[in-house]
Amino acid sequence: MDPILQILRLSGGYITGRPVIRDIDFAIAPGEMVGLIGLNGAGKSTTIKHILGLLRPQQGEIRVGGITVRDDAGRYRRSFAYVPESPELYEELTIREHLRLSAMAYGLEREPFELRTETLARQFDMREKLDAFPQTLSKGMRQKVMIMNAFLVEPPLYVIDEPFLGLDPLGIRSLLDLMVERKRRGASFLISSHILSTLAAYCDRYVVLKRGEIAAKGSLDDLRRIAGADPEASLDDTFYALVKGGGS
Amino acid sequence: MSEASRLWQERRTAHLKTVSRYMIYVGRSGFFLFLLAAILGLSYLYGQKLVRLPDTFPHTLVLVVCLTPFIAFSPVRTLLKEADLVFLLPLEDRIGPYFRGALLYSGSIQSFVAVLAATAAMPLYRHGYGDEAQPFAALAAFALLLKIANLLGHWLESGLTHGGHRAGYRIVRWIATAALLAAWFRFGFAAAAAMLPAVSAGMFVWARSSRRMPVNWTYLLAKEAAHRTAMLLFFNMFIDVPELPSRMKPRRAIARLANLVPFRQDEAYRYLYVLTLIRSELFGIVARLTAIAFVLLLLIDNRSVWAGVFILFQAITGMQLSTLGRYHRHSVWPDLYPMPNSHRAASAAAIAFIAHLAQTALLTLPMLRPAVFAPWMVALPLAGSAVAFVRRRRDIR
Repeated sequence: MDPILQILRLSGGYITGRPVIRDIDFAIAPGEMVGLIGLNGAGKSTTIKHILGLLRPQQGEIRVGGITVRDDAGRYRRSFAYVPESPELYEELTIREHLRLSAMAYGLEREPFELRTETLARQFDMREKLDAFPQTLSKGMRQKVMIMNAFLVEPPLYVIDEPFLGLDPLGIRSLLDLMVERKRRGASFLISSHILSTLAAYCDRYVVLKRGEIAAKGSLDDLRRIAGADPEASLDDTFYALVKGGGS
Repeated sequence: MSEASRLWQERRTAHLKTVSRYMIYVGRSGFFLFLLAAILGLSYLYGQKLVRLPDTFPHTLVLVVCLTPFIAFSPVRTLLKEADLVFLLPLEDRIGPYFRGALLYSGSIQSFVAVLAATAAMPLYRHGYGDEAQPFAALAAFALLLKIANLLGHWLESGLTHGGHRAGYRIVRWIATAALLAAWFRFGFAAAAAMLPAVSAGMFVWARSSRRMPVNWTYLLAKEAAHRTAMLLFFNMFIDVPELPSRMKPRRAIARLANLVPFRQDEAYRYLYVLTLIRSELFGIVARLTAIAFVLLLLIDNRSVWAGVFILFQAITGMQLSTLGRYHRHSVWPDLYPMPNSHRAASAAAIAFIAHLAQTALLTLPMLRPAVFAPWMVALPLAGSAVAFVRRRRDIR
């Protein structure tokens, strides 16, 4: 099966000639959940920005659903939903209006929009907050809003940057349940997080970044082998073995 | 130099840098030329009117009413920042030089304005008092003394704990300033200068014996934030000011209008911008402009003046509305939505255009009064709509 996300020998960053990430190469198949891990400054966010099409590759290319952003920006962007690390909301719009705007922007019909809004609000315990403004919400609630917006549309790929921080236990559980459900229906996930124990329980494979390059990739067994770690070692210990020595 | 005064100097330098950076854009817009023209025009009118003033004209009252605001309004820019609550709080017992610097800074600017106001008042004063009038230097000196007293009074006032108490103190301060000015005009420099220390001492004792804090941090921070916002809002009329804090208002009733936007992908940005316009500061500005214009247009019977007011308010409104597209320009979402990014600017311009047409329609109503209506005036709203349309085309680019 063709991969939904394919990154081919990508080098990139903010300044031409000074790439922050180098030679990044991995793919995600439909229905696969991949964890992107690395220390602060390892290049996770830069990689994600390239996938979103916010930065242009200096070398290599990125294909989502087989096309690059320059082939057809509309189709490229319809193929994924994104949850940013820190919630970014329009302060002039209520939560319900955010969901409506997302639905319109992604070309969702009114009926499924209303149905899914109801379901998502219930799942994230946000029904009473639907007509509130972002300013009045806590950081965790704003993060829930971002997640609800991303899961309102049902794209083949979800790109999720550090989703667990600030979420209450119910929020984390609802998010994980949703991920499992969408994954079963064929959606793929790229999740960047520092909560390795959670990733270990849900991800099929991992990409470990270190100083802008891939230090290791594959299943947990593959990582253990590369790290020379104990076959029973946890993802935490394996990750530590992979990145220790020389900072990020 | 103490740490506190060095910190003040750093803050002042940074502040002046910000101001001068924006002033360039204010200058580029021709605002200063406009200001100069307005001043020249007004002084001409002032001279003309002065000659024709009747003897019964209440000179003292008008002088006091005109001068008091320039002298009593004495805000102190402290240039405090939110983080100071964490980092400056431990320095509170050594912070004195910082606030002395702040008082000196605001004081020198306001002293200049007070002397300017006194200069402007001079012709009217001479006209009313003739040979009894005292020299300009006496008026300027007294205005300066009053200004300093008011500035210190304002500082004492900011230390008061209760908001109601501060408001009461402020009202008394304004009344005292007006009374002292009246005394100066009526009884001369010596009498007024003798009253000033007595009044100041009374105000001082009152403030000192009230519940107060040495430094009223939260109040000063809120005031500084308000000053800063007011300043940035002014600059925002000329150039996009990114650091402007939001002043969003829910306006739930009017916001229902957004439901009129069809639920379709190509309408998404219109939906966003209808809500943005309704809830942002822009709506307040446009609503106030429209209300003022509406009342003026109801009162004015002279056709050419009527046309002038109509055109002026439509022009200012159009200028304000064309800033709608600056909202959300730096948001990440338009880059991610599966729609061409050009839709964003076009939708903002379309919404601004509709708002402009609504104002045109509303302001046309007072024209239908039989007292002012003339067939040629129909051209006014038509021209207004045409200009708005041209502006829309330009903003799309």
